[in-house]
Amino acid sequence: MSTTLLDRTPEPELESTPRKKPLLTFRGVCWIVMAIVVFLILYPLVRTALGMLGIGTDAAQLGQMWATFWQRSTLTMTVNTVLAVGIAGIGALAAGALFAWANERTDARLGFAARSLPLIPMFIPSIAAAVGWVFLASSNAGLLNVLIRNVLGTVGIEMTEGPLNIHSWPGLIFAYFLFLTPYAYLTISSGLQSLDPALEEASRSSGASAFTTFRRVTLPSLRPSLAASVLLIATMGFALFSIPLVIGTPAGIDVLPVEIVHMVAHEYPSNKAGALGLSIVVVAVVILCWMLQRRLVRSGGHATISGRGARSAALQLGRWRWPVRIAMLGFMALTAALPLLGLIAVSLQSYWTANFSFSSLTLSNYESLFDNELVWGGLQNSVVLAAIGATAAIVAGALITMVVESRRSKVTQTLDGIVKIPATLTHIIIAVAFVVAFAGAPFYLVGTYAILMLAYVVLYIPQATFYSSAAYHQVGRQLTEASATSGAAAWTTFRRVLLPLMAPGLIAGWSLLFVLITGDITASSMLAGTHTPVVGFVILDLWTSGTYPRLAALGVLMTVVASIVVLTVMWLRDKLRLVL
Amino acid sequence: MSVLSTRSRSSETGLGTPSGGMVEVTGLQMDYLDSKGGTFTALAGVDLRIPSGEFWVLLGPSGCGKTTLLRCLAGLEKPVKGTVRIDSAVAVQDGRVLLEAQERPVGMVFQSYALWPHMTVFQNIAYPLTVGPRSRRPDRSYVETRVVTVMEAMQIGHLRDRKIGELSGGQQQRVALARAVVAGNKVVLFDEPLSNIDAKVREQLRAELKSMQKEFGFTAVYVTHDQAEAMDLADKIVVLDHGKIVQVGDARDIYYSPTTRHVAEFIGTSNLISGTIEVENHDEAMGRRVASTAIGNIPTEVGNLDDDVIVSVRAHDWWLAPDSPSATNGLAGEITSATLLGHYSDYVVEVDGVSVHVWADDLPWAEVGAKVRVGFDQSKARVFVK
Amino acid sequence: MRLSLKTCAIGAVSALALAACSGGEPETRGAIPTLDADLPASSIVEAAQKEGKVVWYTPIPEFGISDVLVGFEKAYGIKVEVVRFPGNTLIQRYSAEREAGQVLADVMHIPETAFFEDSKDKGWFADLNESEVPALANWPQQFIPDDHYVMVNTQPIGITVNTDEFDPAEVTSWDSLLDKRASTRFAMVDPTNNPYYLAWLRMLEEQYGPEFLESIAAQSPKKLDSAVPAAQQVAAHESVLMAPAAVSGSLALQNEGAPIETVYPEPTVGIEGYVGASADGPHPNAAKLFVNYLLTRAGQEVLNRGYAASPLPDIPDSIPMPEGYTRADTAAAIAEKKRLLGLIGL
Repeated sequence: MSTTLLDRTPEPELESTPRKKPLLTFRGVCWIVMAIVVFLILYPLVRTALGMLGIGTDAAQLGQMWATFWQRSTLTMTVNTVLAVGIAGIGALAAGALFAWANERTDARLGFAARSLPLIPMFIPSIAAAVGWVFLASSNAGLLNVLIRNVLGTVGIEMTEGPLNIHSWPGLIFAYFLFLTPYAYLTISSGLQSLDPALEEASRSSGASAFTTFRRVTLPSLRPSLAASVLLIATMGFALFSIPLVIGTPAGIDVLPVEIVHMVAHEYPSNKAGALGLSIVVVAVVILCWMLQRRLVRSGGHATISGRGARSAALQLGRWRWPVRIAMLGFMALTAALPLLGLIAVSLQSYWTANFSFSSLTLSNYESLFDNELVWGGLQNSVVLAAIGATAAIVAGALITMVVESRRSKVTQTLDGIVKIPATLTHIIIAVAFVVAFAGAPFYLVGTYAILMLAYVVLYIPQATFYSSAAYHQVGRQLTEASATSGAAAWTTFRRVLLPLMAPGLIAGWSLLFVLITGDITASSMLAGTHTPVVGFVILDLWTSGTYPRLAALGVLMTVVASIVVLTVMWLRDKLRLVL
Repeated sequence: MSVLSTRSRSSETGLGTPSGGMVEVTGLQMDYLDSKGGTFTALAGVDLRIPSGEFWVLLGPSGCGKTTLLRCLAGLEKPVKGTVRIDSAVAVQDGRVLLEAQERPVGMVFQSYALWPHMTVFQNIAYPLTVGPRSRRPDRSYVETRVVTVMEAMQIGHLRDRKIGELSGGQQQRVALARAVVAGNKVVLFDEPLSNIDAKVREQLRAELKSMQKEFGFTAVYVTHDQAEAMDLADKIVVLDHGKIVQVGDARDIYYSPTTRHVAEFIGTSNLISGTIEVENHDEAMGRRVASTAIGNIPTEVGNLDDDVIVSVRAHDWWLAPDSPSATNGLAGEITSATLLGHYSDYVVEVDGVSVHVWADDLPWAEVGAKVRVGFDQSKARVFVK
Repeated sequence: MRLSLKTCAIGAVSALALAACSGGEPETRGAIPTLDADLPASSIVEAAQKEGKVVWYTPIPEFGISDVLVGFEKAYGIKVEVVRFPGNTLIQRYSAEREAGQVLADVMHIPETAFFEDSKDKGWFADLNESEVPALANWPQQFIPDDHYVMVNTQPIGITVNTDEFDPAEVTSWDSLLDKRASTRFAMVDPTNNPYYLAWLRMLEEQYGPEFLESIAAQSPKKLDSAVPAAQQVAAHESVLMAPAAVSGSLALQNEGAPIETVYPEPTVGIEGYVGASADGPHPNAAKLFVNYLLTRAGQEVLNRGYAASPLPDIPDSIPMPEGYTRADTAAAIAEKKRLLGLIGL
């Protein structure tokens, strides 16, 4: 009986010469996909860079590019952008750090806040939130202002306008602050999660108070996370387009991204050269921040990951507990709930007015959304494009993960870095490069769905690879190696071991990509058109020439769809304990 | 039973001891690129020949290359030089990989057992029979019979439809082993499968593993850093250090006759004392060649005059007695530490400026500060050139 | 334009949509007049009817469209497909299509002449003659700039005020723009949207001198992208007045009951609408017939109903030409664009 245990499975013969490899192996397919994605990322950038250096563009174009760069208005816009992002960024860093610390280390922790805060930008698209704030805080007709004035009136203080004015520097910085904080929170909280709590416990047992511990032990050890946070805030802030468009332009505050989009999308003929001239500034800022981040990380002295993920006892905040909690809840209200209420309120009016009366509410704006060909077409297109785009991106991401994880070499690490470029270089630069490279010769993809689809995949491939890589690591190397030693080749291992186990993570990633693509504004504003409308394009169109109630209705619709998807993913995540 | 079986052969026949299952490695070298761009040599020319049906253990400290060697056998790492033969198949020829991991006739049991959580026990074990080139796959009835046979042999037949998460550590080990042998692999590789298990359970699982290997007769190549485990399981132990094999032998050889100081240091608790090769009493004509140390002169043939050497004497080869004015045996010393370790105690005694570990029965008078006399059996001392 | 109709079946939304999609007759704001009896029939009516459809690119407000559609279909049995976008967008779209070798628009209707002038040697638009477009015979000569395009109406430019703040009767001249109440609460429609806004600025400068424009700048006007958002600002009392304002921007709000009204100080200019028929478009005969319809009294009535002025006299429901209306010199205005914008601080 025992000898039969080692009977080899009957087989014709065991060769010691290499088997003939089939023409297209799974590994081959993965590499082809990787090559296509790398091409889609690098070609537009290289072509744009060459154009900036004068290769492949005519002298007039080059002249216009540099003329735009050296214009006085460029300096003004740069200063405006730096001020807005800088001041708001400092606030966002502080708020993000405080909330992250509160949720990770103290007893002010709010479970659902900890999970939802980083996802807020996904719940409510930034343009919807910006429009919501306009409806709330316009100095005269803003609903919040009306409310405050009424309340103040009852205590004898009469005001004819204000007190809040969203179309102002403070208003703009406030909006940027709301937008940037979740990103700061995300990087800092994940930094705290991998920090050894023993360091802080040592401080507290030496007699330091909670805030002193935070200031003198936690913050310095968090250097790399803080540096990453600064970089993220700078890149997200410098590429932000929807908020300055809606809030800044009416206040006379012009920033670079708005002007770049305007040059590409609204000037006829499309002023690509001018857009490139302004893009030089954005790229310079991003590179500066990147170098700053590397300097901060390299100077060492930061705490290493303990690896055990042991949770320390929560710090008792005493009388500070509820104020911190209220600050967190207040922030979430400001950034998501309030603007949504503003949108809903206006969407139910027949025309935007400060005199909000419950008797004159109507659903006609929602009905008209479906009547309007452009809006309905845009909604349909966005859903279809997002479904296809998210699928393509996740599949590509999974195959790219296979390439990068199968063998850690300089080559695969470089490729991994390239795939992350669209996230580091900001969406606006990638979108401009796409216009330069693919709209005209030799591809002539201008005004097609193809260019939109390619742009979406390229813009969101970093997120796709992030989710698929997280899913892959959750499976663990040994499970795939066990499949190999059991006789399965790469494709079989992928199909029978990796895919089923990665599926929950991939599905979650798919859903979040779906939300990101439907809510995309940057690429949509420059690459979509009247023939190929998508939601981002449509909502901008409504902003410039449509009625506010209809705009509000679309904003509510976008938020509802996005929220449903994100909440479903969060519920699934808890159920299946996914890594996200 | 020959490896060159025809398709029509049923699995019930099969007599005699299995042939094949031999592992041979020649000149294996494995380099890694480290984070600073230099190369780190994990295996620096390894030669090994493991006969069929034996249980061999690769032993050594972290970073010695034992896991790298195992993974080269499995095909999970690709060496830069050398040849690997498994059964009669050449897996790697002069640094060229001829057989990928999935093509090699080896099974592997991983540190975490690596059982797939989305499959049942049956599906896990049946997996190797359901993958690979289509033309070679057996039909369903064969798979069913074979898997059941193997499961029964390992006494896990009743776990067929269970999910992996419901199994105990011991059951998982058996499932992992069943999966490794179900396709008829005559060589099974083990990558420290017991290192995450509690001490008491570990001993039990070790015993089971040993008996299954004996019963089923596969060649086992087992990696561990635990010397007690190695000595318990192995027919032969391969001690590795810094990418080289430093000694191959059974437990006795390794323990009593270590060939290098590294082996001596790694196995058991040894006292290592430095010394120099001299001629005793400087009597060139009559004097013996000895290693002159703080604990005395040990006769030895090793090395040349004036060489610096290390003398190794195991802790339990020492004796301990109370000091008294009339005592003349051994060396005088003082206890600086006394630790009860179960059925024996570990005493650290300071003798002539060196600290020596002495294992002896628990002696009530042997407290810290006590004056003692210690000595050792000179024949048990080993001398190594530095 | 849409990707696929299959996505109509998404969720509960589709129920609402299908109800709307399959809607019945479009509503009209008034009666549809019968075609002018005294006009000879066009020579291409039958050819046009065979084509069965005409595609109309137009920037006129949404509420103004259905009357024209119903009117044309009633007169000739030919359906009209409307593509509605601001003038600049239409120009971009038409040009992009032409450059890609496509012609998708039959009738191009935009508030500017430069586009038609520039495309003359490209031959994008067909010459219009009286046998195919008989209504040309009755059309005032000064509104036919060239063989291939015609001015079809004008929307006088005035000031739209919030009636809770201003009594319309008190707004008699452009000086109201400098009223204290309008300081920082002045909604200004982006003057670069069409050449007639620039012409309006030029007219103000000619009448009252450059200091007038500088005084407007001192009011810190808020620049809005187009007329509709500006009108909404005024309706919500976020701003108290809006200029340059054509009533079309605020008519819908007015009808909803918003406290908003448009007045026309003198002198003023208007946003002139011009039409041309694509040469070698998808429905060339229907295109010319449609242009003809727009130039008939019946067509003028449905086109201008409630918000625009007709070159023909006594068209019911249209806005009367304001006293002191002058045709704008857009070429000069465009040439001085930078300077004019600089004066008002934009």
